[in-house]
Amino acid sequence: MSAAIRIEGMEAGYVRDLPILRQVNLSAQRASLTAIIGPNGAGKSTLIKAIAGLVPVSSGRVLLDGRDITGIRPDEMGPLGLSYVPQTDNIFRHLTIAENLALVLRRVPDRQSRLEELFALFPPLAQKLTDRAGSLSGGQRQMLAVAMALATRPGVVLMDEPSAGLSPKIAAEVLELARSLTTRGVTVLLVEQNVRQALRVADHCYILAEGRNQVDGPAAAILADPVVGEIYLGGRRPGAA
Amino acid sequence: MIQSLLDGILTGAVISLGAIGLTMVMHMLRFANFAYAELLAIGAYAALVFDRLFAALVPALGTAFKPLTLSASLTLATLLAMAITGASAVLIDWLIFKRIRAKADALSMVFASFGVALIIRNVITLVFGHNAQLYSPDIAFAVVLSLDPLVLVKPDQVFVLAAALALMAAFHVVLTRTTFGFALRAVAENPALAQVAGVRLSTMIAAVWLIGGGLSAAAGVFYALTNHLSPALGHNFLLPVFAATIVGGIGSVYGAVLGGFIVGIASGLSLMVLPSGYVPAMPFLIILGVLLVRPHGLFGEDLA
Repeated sequence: MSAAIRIEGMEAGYVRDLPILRQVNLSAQRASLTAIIGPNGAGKSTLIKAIAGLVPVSSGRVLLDGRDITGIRPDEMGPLGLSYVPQTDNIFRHLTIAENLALVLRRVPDRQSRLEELFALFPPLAQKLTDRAGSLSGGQRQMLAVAMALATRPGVVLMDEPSAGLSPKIAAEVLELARSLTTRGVTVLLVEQNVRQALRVADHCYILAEGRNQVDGPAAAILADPVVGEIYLGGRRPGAA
Repeated sequence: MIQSLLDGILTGAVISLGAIGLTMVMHMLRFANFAYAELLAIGAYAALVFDRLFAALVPALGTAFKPLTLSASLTLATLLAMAITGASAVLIDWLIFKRIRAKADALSMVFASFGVALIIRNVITLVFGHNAQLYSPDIAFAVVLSLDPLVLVKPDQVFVLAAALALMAAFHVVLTRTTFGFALRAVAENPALAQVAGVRLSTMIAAVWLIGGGLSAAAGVFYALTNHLSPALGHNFLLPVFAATIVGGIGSVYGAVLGGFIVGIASGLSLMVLPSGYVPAMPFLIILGVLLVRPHGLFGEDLA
């Protein structure tokens, strides 16, 4: 299988000469779900934002289907096939659901048919078209955010902690939704704090700490590895009191 | 009371037009632009220049549409002034603010805006002089709406109110019926997410300057049509326009419109209890009151 997205030696940060990410490497296979996990401050969200073009990359490359997209503006990512679902504030609350979708669909040629496809995928949205997006429940907001990300038929979707702030049941549903995207040929790169649930739906996993790669491997293997579990998945450190 | 209310509504309409662009610029670029109100003066004086030019070239255009003092030449000049002021706002951003925001923080932008305001005001004074000027030397007679209480209204004032409301309604249609309007509202609400949604920020910043400049020019012409022009026109509207923006909530277009009317009406009604010299302090009091009770304004949200 070929890599849908590859990160090579990425250094990135919000302030010049103060990188948060140091030599991060990552590769995600087409139509797979790759989870990026790690402790708070590891640089997971920064990595996702840097890929999306929202954080300056000082060195390294982002390759989307082999094409170098490093440093491309965030608004140009959609047409190239990459979408990003931010962790919070990922919908326009003051716009209606119809307006949110119309905004992201405005350059899509077959707008109406794409809208119908999205409604088939997310039926609750079709029933609330004229409602303000801010009135939606947490799960419905994530649904709208994912629908907006999928509007341009991206090959790769970046999701930053989609289960944050949701009840365990809705969080599980959102992660299942992320998983279901891969069956439609979409490659998903998922940052999650909800580590065990994320690993259950992921194919592959990268563990980041202090802005660097630490461990990576098949998600199932990482979930089953007692040493990795002790260190990174909330277990006790070996030998700790 | 009714007369003060009418005058307040009229002033409020002018303030609202000026505040629409300011609220979008302040929210999008995250800085208090103290040069913004000078766009009203640029617009008013640009209209004066083109009004005189058109009337000189084609004298028939200078004939007023009675009972208004407005003429065809001033109508055309206003449209041209709106375009020129919008373009001036884009140019000022490109020449000054864009360069500063690439290298410095919001505070530097605020100081720069003070400098820009001073430059604009002094250039206008240099070119047009200190003296007040009028678009038309014709005397505009007021119509008596009521004798007890005495309520007077000039036809120009009715026109200005109708035209200001029409411009706001047109902008409302753009905001709520077009994808360009959705993009403007999206950028006003969350610039980073708007970029992710495929909106080019630099284009929208230019569009906001262009629209804000155009509406401010109309506000400047409308004020000058019912009062007079002076180089201090922009400076005199600085506080009211800021107060309207803060009352409405930074980033909220509809809040700015409502805030403009609140500031205008409050200033108008304050004449009933305060000496006229204290009326310019009313926007200050409104700003203080709103910041104490509702720091994010009526429709605004925390920008942090």
